[in-house]
Amino acid sequence: MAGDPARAPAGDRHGGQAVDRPGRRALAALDRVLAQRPQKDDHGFSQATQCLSAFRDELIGAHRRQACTREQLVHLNGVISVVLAGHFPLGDVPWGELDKARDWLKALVEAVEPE
Amino acid sequence: MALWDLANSDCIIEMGSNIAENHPIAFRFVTEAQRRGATIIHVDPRFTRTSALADIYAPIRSGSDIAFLGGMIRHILENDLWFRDFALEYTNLAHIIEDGYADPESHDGLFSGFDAETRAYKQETWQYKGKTVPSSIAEHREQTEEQAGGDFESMTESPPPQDRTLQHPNCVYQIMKRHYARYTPEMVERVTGCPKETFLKVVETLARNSGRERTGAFTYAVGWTHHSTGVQIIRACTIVQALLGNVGRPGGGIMALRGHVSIQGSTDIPTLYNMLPTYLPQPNVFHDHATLDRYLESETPTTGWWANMPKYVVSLLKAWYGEAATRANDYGYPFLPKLTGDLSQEPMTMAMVDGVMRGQFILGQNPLVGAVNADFVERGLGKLDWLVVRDFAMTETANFWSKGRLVAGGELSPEDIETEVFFLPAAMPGEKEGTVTNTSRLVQWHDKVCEAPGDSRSDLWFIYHLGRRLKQLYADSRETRDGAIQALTWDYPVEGEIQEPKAEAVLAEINGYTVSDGEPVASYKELKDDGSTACGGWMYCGVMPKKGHNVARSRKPDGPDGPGSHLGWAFAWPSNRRTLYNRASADPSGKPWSERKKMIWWDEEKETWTGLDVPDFVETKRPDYRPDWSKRPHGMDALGGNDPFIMEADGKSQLFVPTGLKDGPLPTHYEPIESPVKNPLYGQQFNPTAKLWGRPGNELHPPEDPRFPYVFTTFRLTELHCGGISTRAMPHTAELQPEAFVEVSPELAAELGIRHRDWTVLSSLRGEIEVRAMVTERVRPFTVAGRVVHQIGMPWVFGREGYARGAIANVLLAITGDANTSIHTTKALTVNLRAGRLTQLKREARHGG
Repeated sequence: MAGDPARAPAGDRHGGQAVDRPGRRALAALDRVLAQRPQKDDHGFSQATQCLSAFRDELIGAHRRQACTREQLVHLNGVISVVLAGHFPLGDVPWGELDKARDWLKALVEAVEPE
Repeated sequence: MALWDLANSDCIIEMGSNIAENHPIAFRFVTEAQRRGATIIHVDPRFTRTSALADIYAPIRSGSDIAFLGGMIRHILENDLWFRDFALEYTNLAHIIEDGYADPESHDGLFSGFDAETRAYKQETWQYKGKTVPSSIAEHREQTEEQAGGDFESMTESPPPQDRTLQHPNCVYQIMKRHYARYTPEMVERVTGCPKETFLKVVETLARNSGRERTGAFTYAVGWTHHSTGVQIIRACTIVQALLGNVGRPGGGIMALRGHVSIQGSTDIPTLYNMLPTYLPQPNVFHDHATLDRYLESETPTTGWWANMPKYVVSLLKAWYGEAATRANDYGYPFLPKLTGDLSQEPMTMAMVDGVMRGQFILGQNPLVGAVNADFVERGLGKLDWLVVRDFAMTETANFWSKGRLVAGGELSPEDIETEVFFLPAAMPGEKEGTVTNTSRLVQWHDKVCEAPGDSRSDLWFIYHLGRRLKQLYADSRETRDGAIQALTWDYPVEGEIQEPKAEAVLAEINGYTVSDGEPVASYKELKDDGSTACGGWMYCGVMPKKGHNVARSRKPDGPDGPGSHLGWAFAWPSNRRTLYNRASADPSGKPWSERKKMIWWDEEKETWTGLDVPDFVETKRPDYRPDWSKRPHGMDALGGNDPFIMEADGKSQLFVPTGLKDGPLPTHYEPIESPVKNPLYGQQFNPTAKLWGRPGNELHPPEDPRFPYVFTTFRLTELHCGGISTRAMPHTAELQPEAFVEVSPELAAELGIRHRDWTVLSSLRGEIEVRAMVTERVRPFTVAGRVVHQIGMPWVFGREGYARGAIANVLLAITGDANTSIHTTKALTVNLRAGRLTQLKREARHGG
């Protein structure tokens, strides 16, 4: 589908890294959201969530093949929870928590999608 | 108040509701009041059957209710029409607010504490001077982070500062006078379109029928709640009623007309996503809620009845987790899910579209008809891996994958939708036993009268057996997160071939029992916070006070000469009390305000409160009791014998709300998010804290958008129920309302060349529908801010299934939320209307027309 953030064009890069893999696309999308702080970019959050959901689908498949641990899946679900908390906050957007979630995601991506 | 108590009113204002058509059973009490001489007033955008039976009809533009009610507040204050002895004593009218408080008067529509970046308020300047006031509402915090400084213990040091002369510039009385000063009758007419003479007639009639000898009531429904300022609309009414002394007294009050036979029950017990049963706050991962002690410390008010909260929370945990809940593990508190954000229906829909959710259960709901932005919902359903729909007839939601609008329009195809849909037949009300809790908080038991056919099952059967299977599935798991399922007590007795759980056993658990011997508790006053009691919903305590005694079954009405509270008919929570805050029916000395309007009073001889209803007060607390502040009193000791509003931290009705509301301490007129006019009152156009989600497929119309110049509202029909399928699938109700229609005034119809029953197209940035026009004087143009504004309306109950079919009105609506409740807006938005059909337009487009 045109404009589907979970399927970035080949050759797209973020921070010098290729974003042709779901985890890296998700990280790039989350970084775009964080770059807008303190503005809450709903469209950006939606795109980040879609990318994270696509990454999660990959991890679920990997988990079934025993190529990914349960703990990694749990971490990613934690990241998704926090991103949803940012998109649909009760009160302030928890930017501090989103920063932590970003670090978790980065560590996960480096483990699962090493360069 | 109880529904039947409406018959005791001297004046009833029906607003935000079409009670005659949508609550016909409740309406008989309005009819009885009228028969006894009460004046009935209907304030509404449409002239309906309710209007036709009213003594006074006041037309107002959809979405302008706060302007109208604010005008009433101003008129009452400016003309000294308020019930001084009541309001001065029982409300926070004389309380002094912090020096830093600033009103929308000085901030062009914003209160002090607004952060433009986060679009949220900080509440420090709204507090009573020198106090941090706890809120009685679950999920009340304005911010995600904890409040810096101030703690609830400040409420135990002294009463809030007051000026009973009402001269202090920052007392609530003076603040309200300044806040509502611009809500003149002329401004009311300018904003609402209601002629000022009619407005004045309404407020004068209500004021004349209030006071010691007379009381008035309001009835409202989703005409008030389904707005981005929904909570504040209701608040404005509470201010009117508290000023006039119409709370806690016979025939006085605000009757929320819930829309289903048991929707009150559905919010009491299963509740909403952000509450535990009976309105306890759901723990939140971003608050100081890491342990049970921290959660209780941070959420429990130090004064007032809610100081008992720990007993209710611990007893709930014992009911849910039984022997697995011990002091050592915080009674299972770690098993409770913790909130991370807004998980209400609208965010859930968006999360569905974004691929977060893998599956969904839909029980007794039809979101493809009933939820706003129907096409958006349909896209989300197509992203699920699985969907379970339980109903007794095919719904638009269940067959979206083959017949949905997006499938019909070619955006989606059944081959590409991977959602596996399970449609499970549901038993109908007469085919299952249990209770319903109605709009009077009345819990009424009903027996099963016949067996459900075939594989149809009750929701109780489904949830019980689903839980049983999940417990079996996770029985051997070692994952920490599966502990909650493993620990759940799930030992309800079942009977019969299909193993139907006994509903009375569930009700008994909700009622509560002592853990050691399983004996029922008779009252919530017996609940403890030490794990010795279990209770699934403290407000329902007493519904089964003894084994085998189900009060919800009782059917003993009072006779014609009886007290009229009908205490022998079913069970009203809490404690079978019919009118909440009925201490306010007596004056500060404990005597009824008048013989005509007596309800409860102090019996000096017996040293107890007594009367025609169950007293909503500590039975033995003398009216002249005053807290000894030198002892730092807590709980109910901090409330005097003249403080009827016991769920509030200081026992007073809050005209000005220092804590608990995300969009301000006083109701303020803002335009609906989509409006054809600029806000005539302030520069701030709409509620600055409203929940907005700008994303493709959910675009909003800017104010005064010439493409969408008409105000659009939706409503229900007597003959077709809500999401519609239960009545659209029945020939005898379907034939009464066979087809969708849009109500258009003769003036607008003439302007657009539309005749009665012509096809028309309604459009918004969310979608387009075609529907036949009903040209009718039920809807009229308004003059707002000097120009003509047309209003049109459509029932939202139609869909493509059943005998009575028609376009889904919710295609046109956007996903937005009230700041406090996240409720959608269905009552005021903008659309375009033209004569013709959708297919005609497409035909013309192909030929370049």
